Amino acid sequence: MILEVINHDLHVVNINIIAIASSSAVLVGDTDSMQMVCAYDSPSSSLLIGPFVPIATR
Amino acid sequence: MLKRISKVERIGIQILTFSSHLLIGDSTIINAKSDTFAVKRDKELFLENEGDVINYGIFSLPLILPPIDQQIYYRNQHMCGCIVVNRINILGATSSSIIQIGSNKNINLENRRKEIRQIAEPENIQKATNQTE
Repeated sequence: MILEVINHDLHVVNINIIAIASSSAVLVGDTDSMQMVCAYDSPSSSLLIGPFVPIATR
Repeated sequence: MLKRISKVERIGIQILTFSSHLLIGDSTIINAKSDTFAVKRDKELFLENEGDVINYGIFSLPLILPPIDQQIYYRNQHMCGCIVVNRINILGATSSSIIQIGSNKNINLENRRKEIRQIAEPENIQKATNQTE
């Protein structure tokens, strides 16, 4: 694969972001590689109904 | 690879939590990892003996990243040597996220999150069972 990039003048006035979460990135600059992984587990079995019992105790 | 210069006049960030970074300057490698075990209850209750042994599959599950071995013939030309941003406003950054002003080589971010909801109040149980049905 041959990739040729020509970067011209880049001028941004304003950036407004509410939230950056779960292995994401905001980069003002150059990078070669980025690898981001996010695993989120919230299945229906994680809804516990009943009295409060401690979770994951020794 | 020749990198450009980043120029930010003003940056405002309110919250940085759970292995998130604000990085001003250049870097080579960033490895950030965050494991979160979140328990939400319908009553304010904190049990201090909780969370000692967290053996949920999500935390041991191998997350295989594709190897960076592909040969790319990359050539770039910078007509202007800098990136200019006047203002950045960020409310919050959490869970191994990165805010960087500057150049980088490799960024590796990993986040695992297990969420549990525990319901005990009778009226909330009623609501939850109605929702699941």
